Amino acid sequence: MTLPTENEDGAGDSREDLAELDAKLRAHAKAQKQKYPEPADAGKRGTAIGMAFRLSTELVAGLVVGGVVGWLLDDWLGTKPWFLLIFFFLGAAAGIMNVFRTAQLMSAAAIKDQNEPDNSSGDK
Amino acid sequence: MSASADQEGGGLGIDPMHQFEVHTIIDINIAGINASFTNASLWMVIAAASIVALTVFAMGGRAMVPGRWQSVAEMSYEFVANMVRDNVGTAGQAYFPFIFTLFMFVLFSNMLGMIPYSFTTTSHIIVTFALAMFIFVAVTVLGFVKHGAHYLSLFVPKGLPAVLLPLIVVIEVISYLSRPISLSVRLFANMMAGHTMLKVFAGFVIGFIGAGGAYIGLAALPLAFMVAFTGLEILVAFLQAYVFAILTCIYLNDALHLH
Repeated sequence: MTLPTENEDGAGDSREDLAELDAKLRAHAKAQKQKYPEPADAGKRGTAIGMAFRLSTELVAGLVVGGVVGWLLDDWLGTKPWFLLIFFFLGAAAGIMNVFRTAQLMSAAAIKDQNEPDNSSGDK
Repeated sequence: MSASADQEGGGLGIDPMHQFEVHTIIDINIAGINASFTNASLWMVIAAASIVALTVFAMGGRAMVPGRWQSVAEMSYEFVANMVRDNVGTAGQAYFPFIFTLFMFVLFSNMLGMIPYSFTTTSHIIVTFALAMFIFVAVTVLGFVKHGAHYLSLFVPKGLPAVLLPLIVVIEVISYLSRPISLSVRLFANMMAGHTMLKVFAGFVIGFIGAGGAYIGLAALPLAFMVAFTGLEILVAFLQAYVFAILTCIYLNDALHLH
């Protein structure tokens, strides 16, 4: 979709023409969408796998960083295995927090998509 | 490696990991450091060259009504521009060139990897980790430059009781440090898993055909699966480039606008 702010070339009235055409195209697309509504889960199946994968990597990344930090601290201070144990759980907490935040972002994006459906059509 | 013809069940004579092997094309050694030009380097150069070709040559005409190639270039521009505007706001405009380059590089590396006999640079964790680490360091430095020591307040949620402070701050720091890991592992694992899966099923096809007789008909099953899976892999290639770029935007937003 054409963004008016990014049209560098073209004289004033051709820009107006473009804006008019753009408005017509948008109206047409909207009418088409109402005429042939997409099935609710169209294109969502592939992203569902992506979402699951995204959440699991967030969880694992927290655990890995917690474990590595604990292990390095133990190595440095000679306190095996206490820091590893503590930071493993802290890492798990961080991972769960990551997952929670990512899920929040995802649901915010999903709500936004529902409210302005013509915005997401440009994202292939 | 080749599949031996008499192998039943298939796939056993084929190494699905062979596609990920890095081999040297031009041997370069600088002061004892192996800086050889490998097939991975070659495909990175091809990715970069294709992006330059798309953006420079496709936009060369600067037609008012764009042709196919110009449309592709303009669409990618607008796609990333919208992404930056939605996630970082107007302050993010200055970082658009970086996000665009990043998105296009990851996208082209992923897509070029879908071509048979090519090499998928993003299926190597060192490549994705280097990208993620660069983003992580750049965003952190940017945060400190913009906000000074105040940037550390990112680790202290508002309205936190003093008793919980040490615990939560440590958890927040771990969560912050886990960003480059999740960013790089996600891209690398997606690309590697998909490509391995494709090769494993290709191995089944060859195995069934090699087994001969009634088994040849069975080869249609993994072949059909591969066709469908190739489509999914193209979606994943795009989606992962998108996720990589959008997360960079989110991290950038955190650094620019402290809450």
